[in-house]
Order: sequence, then structure tokens, then C-alpha cells
Amino acid sequence: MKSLEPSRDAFGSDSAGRDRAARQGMWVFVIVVSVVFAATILGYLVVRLNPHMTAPWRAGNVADLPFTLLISTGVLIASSVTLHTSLKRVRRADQVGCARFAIATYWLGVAFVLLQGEAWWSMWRQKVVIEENLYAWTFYVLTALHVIHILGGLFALGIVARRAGEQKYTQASHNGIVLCGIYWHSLDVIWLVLYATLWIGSRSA
Amino acid sequence: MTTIDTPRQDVLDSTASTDNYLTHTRGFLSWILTLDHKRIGVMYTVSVLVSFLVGGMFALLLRTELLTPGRTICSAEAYNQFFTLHGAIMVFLVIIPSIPAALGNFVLPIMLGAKDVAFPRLNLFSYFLWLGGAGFTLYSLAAGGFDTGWTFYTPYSTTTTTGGVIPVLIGVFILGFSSIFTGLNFIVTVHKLRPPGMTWFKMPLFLWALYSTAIIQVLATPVLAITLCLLIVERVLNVGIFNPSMGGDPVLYQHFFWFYSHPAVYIMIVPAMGIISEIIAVHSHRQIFGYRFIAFSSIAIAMFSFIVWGHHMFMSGQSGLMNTIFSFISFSVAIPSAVKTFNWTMTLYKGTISLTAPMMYALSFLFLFTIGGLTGIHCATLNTDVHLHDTYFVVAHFHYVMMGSALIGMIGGLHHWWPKMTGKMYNEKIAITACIIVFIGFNMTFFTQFMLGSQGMPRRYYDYQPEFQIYHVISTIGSYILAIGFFTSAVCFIQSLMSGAKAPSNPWGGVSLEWQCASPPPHDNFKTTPHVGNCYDFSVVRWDEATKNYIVDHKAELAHSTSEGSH
Ligand SMILES: [Cu+2]
Repeated sequence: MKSLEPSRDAFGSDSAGRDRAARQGMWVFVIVVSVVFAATILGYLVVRLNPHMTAPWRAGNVADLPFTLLISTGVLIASSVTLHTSLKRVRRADQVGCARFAIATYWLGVAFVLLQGEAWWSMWRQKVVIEENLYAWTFYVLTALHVIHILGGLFALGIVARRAGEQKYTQASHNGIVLCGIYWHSLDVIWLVLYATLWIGSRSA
Repeated sequence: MTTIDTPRQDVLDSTASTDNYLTHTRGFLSWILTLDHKRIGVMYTVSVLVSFLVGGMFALLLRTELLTPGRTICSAEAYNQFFTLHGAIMVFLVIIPSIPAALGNFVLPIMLGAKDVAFPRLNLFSYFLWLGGAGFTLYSLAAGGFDTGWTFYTPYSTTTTTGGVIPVLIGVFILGFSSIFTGLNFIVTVHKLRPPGMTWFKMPLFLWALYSTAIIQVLATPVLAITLCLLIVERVLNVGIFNPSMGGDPVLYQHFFWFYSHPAVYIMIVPAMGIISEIIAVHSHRQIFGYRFIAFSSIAIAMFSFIVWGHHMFMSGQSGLMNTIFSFISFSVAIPSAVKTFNWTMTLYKGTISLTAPMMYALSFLFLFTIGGLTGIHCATLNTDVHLHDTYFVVAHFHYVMMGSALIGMIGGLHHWWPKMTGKMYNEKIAITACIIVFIGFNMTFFTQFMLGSQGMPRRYYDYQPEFQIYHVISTIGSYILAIGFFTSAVCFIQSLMSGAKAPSNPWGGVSLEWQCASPPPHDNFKTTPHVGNCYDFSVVRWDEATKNYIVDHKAELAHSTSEGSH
């Protein structure tokens, strides 16, 4: 064994081309994730709007969607704003501001996950168990599906925040923040659609 | 290598170089951790062929069981597992990755004129995912197997007591992501790594096919992923949106499943069509007829594939209106398919056909795909499908498409690029003999199943009426002949690896870029950005007796392209 190839790169010296390709790859990945959620929401609508439903969607005494979801939604939107600000700062060559906002985004992301956990806990406290009915099942499964994707984004955000803190991003080269932003903002939009669907679906039995 | 008067010194250098991707580095780790798309393609090819052997063994077992009514060699429970495993392995481990991930990985960057795919690490990761998915699928055997059929229909899949259901669902879930990442990689590669001069309409048709396939992989496979997730949750908790006792809908599962699995058929067949376009043009030495029609029909098939899934569900209680719409759209898929078949036939017509093994496989493809496609019309017609649904007719139909077309295309492509991949020629006589045996065995196995099905023999049954036995016996003997054919093919390949003659860079007289690269290609494919011409203009190719090789004459090519540009 001579040496393992440390890296292999078809773009060579064309670093702008490499960055563009990475962004396109991320957009394609966002399409993949969107299809996952689109299918899930469609499936939700099919069972929710089924005219021949064999069991009640939601019994009268089952708790409403927890209020915490409203707070977590606000936190997630705020995290998108800070992430975008971080990008704007680095474009203006303000590395310190970029790092500050990237780190803020990371903690807002963590707060979102904790708040989603609190929402689960509050439902569970009110004895809404997943076996109860489809209203409960879809609440737990759909929010969990979203949180799993958020955790992936949080992992990436952690790396970005650390690199921003080390001032590795410059005005000329900061593709990491852009890639992370594409994913994070998309998950933000997906959450808004998902939350709206869950909320409208939770109305009436 | 002798010197040839060609202005492209760089091409000649890479042809003469002794360094190639096989000898660049050595050792097990240099393969399993490689980022070279060629090595990854070879690893996929080997893995897929091993899986094909396993899936084929199950096919032989279940065909043997069907030799007589009632018990022949195994219990009904074992039989259920055999056909399920055969289906799941062949679909998810063999045919779906066989062309894009195996041959596509090897050929796509070279054909395009690039050094590698856009994301080499992701490419290797896809391969590891494939290994992981295959591991879970194998583990499901140890965990008690599964008897759900490859379609995992609810409510049976959520209630059956076989222990391997969850492992295989996890396995297929992982395989799905392997497929998604390969598709993502190919899309970005085709968009971003085309060298100067390689415009969309200069791309070889195999690249158009792989690009269309990648779109399907990216848009359809996520639906399978989420469906399997929901199915796993439901099987663990016993409640969920597919469970009617809770207000769920089991038919929703079928919609989800076929929303992926119908496009999946095109993940299998479209790249095979791409291979056939290459083989027919190169081995009949004639400019491909209707290039743009073939290219756009690949895209059209990819688009159509998303709106026909309901034709699998005519008997599911779907409304009459929906049935009519799905039936009508399914018929429309015949148009782009027929466009391709017409163009291939026109290319062959007046072409100078070399009856090589790849060409023999391509001709088999034309014959089998025509039967497979036309019998699809019977299945898409509402009033005949009521009769044919869930019978052997459907089994025969999709084997003609998925095996007779997709897999035969893959084997043809493997012969076509074998000299490029290994640097060795195979024995043409043995390869052609194998192809003929496969062709006879295939038709014996599956044509009889059309008769069985049209007479009412249901699919997946362990037992049957005695009057069906003669057909089952013929079909089983056919499957043995088929196995002998593939075994002959394996002998041919192994013999080539051990003692095959050294392959020249261009044994068939192709013009696309992979034939202007050494056999086997050097580590970096091209030393400098290659010159892109018309990849189907065979007038620039001439036979060089001294090197026993076809030479692409770039002077003639340049003259052609300037005269084309002047009017
Ligand atoms: Cu279909």
C-alpha cells in the first residue's frame, strides 16, 4: 500500500466552481428533504380528511396542541434571522459579528429542540399517548421527524459556529455558512408548513 | 505503442501510460477507502453481481418448488420466504444499483471528460450505505426471514410473525439513501463538471439516461424512505396511519409504495436504455438516429413515471375515475418508449452491424423489451387487468421489463465496457454463446408464464391445479437453462480476467470520450481537458492494423466540426 488518497477533487484550482457545486448539491438535498415532508403531510391529509374514518380523529377530551409550539416556532424563526445576519456580517468582512451571530444561531437551535421536548412532555403529562388516536400519533411522529432533521442541522451549525469563532470564514471564502443556511432556512419553512397543518388538523373531531 | 499522426499528444500520452487506476495504489484499504469513481464502480459491480447470484439462487429454489403441485422441496412458509427474498434482493440490491451505481459510476465521469464525480467522498459513502443496507438485509435472514412479498403491503407486513421484517425494512431504507446520494452526485456532476465544449446536446445518450434516472432517484426515493419509516413505527407500536382500527388507511400504504416503486421501474430501465443507445450506435458504426428524440424521451419517461403509480391499484377499491386517469396516463408512457425503439431500429437499419456480444445483448433487449412493453398495455387496460391482476401474466410482464430489459442491458453494458474496466478482452465466442443460452432460457421461463397467467394461475401461490403443471415444468427447466447461461457468462469473465488478451483503448470503434482514454484508464482519467467532438460521428474513426485498435482521427473531427459550424 503506497498511500491512501488524502482527497480527490475534480474541480482542481476552480474553487468558485467547487463552491457552486456544493451549493447545488445542498439544494438538491433540500429537495430530497422537502419530498419527505411533502409525502408525510399528504399522508396526514389523506387520513385526516378520510370521509369513511373508522375511528374518531380526536376524542373531545384530548388536549389541544401545546402552547409551547408557538414559542418554539418563534425561536426557530429568530434562529433563521441570526444565521442570515451572520452571513451578512461575513460578507461585510466583519468576522467578529459573524461569529457572534453564528453562535447565537446555534443556541437558538438548541433552545428549539428543548422547547419541542417540552411540548412532548406537556402532551404526555396530559395523558396524550401515541396509541391514543391518530391525532396523537401524527403529533408525536411528525414533530419527531422534524426534530431529527433539526438535529442534523444543529450538528452542522455547531461546526459552522466553531469555525466562525476561529475566524476561519472570510469575506472571500465562507461557503460553509451559505450551505448551512440553505438547509436551516428550508427546515424553518418546512416547520411553518408542518405546524400550520398540525394546527388546522387539530381543530374539531 | 506506436506513434500515430494525431494532433492530440495528450490523449496519446494517457493511452501509452503504464499507470492505471487498478495499479495506482495497492492493498485492500486502498480499495475500500478509495475516492476514485472507477474503483467505487468496480466495487459496486462486484457487490451487485454477488447479490445477483444470491437472488438467483432463491429464484431457482422457488422455481424448483413449483415443479409439482403441492410440496416438492420445501414447506409453504419457506416458499413464501424464497419468493420474497428473491424479489427484495433483485430489486433493491441488484437492479436498482446495477447500472447507475456500478456501470454509471465507472463510466459517467470519463464519458463526460471529468476527473471524477462532483462529491467523491459522498460517492464512497453511498457505497458504504449500500454495504450497510445489504448487511441488514442479510441479517434479516438470521432474524427469522420475512414473507411479506417485496412490496411489504400492510396490514400483513405489520402483523406477520416472521422476525426479519424490521431488519429488512431498515436495510431497504438505507439502500434508498445510497441511491439518493448517487443520484444527487450525478445531477451535480453533469451540471457542474462538463468540460468546455461538452454542451448538453453533445453528451452521449447514456449520460442523458443517467441524468434522467438521477432525477427520479432524488424525487421518488425519499417517499420510499418515509413510507418505510412509518411502517417500522407502526410495526413496533402496532398503531399508525396504515392501521384501520385506529382510523388509518392501509391503501394509503399502497399509494406511497407505488409512488416510489413505479418510478423505481424507470430507475431500472432508463439507464438500460441509455446503454442500448451506446451499444447500438457504436457496434453498428452509425450515427445514432434521432439523438434529440432519444434524449428527450428519457426526460419524458422520467416525468411520466411520477403520475402512473395507480395502475398497480386498479383492484384496490380506487375510484373508477382514478382508474381511468391512471390507465390513460400509463398508455402514454408507451409513446417515449416507442420513440426510442423506433430510433434504435433506424440506427441498425443500414448500419454496419458487428455481431459482438454487446450487440447480441442489445438485440435481445430490443426483442424482450418490445414484448415486455406491449404486454404492459394489457395490464394498463382496465377491463383486461381485472382478469390479469395478481396472476402470472403480471409476473411475466415485469420480468420481461426488469430482467429481460434492465438486467440484459446491464450485462450488455458490462461486456461493452469490460475491456475499459479491466484492460482485458473477453472471449467473444463464449460470450455470444452465453447470450444465446440466456435468451432461450429467459423466454422459456417467462413466456410460459404469460400463458399461465392468462389462464388464471395466481402469482405467489405455493399450490396449483394439475392442468397448470406442464407450464410450470417448462418454466422451471427454462430457469435452469437461464442459470447455465449466466454461469457461462461468469466463466467468460473469469477466463478474461485470468488469461484475456490485453485490450486496446478502443476495441469497438467508439468516439465518446471513454474510448479516447487508455484501457484501463489512468488514475486521473485525462491529463488535460479532453477535446469534445460529436460522440456519434463514426466517420472520424479508422482501424489501425498495427495497434489492432480503432483510432479517433482528431484532424478529421476538427475539420468536421468547423464545416458544421460554417453553415
Ligand atoms: Cu407501474
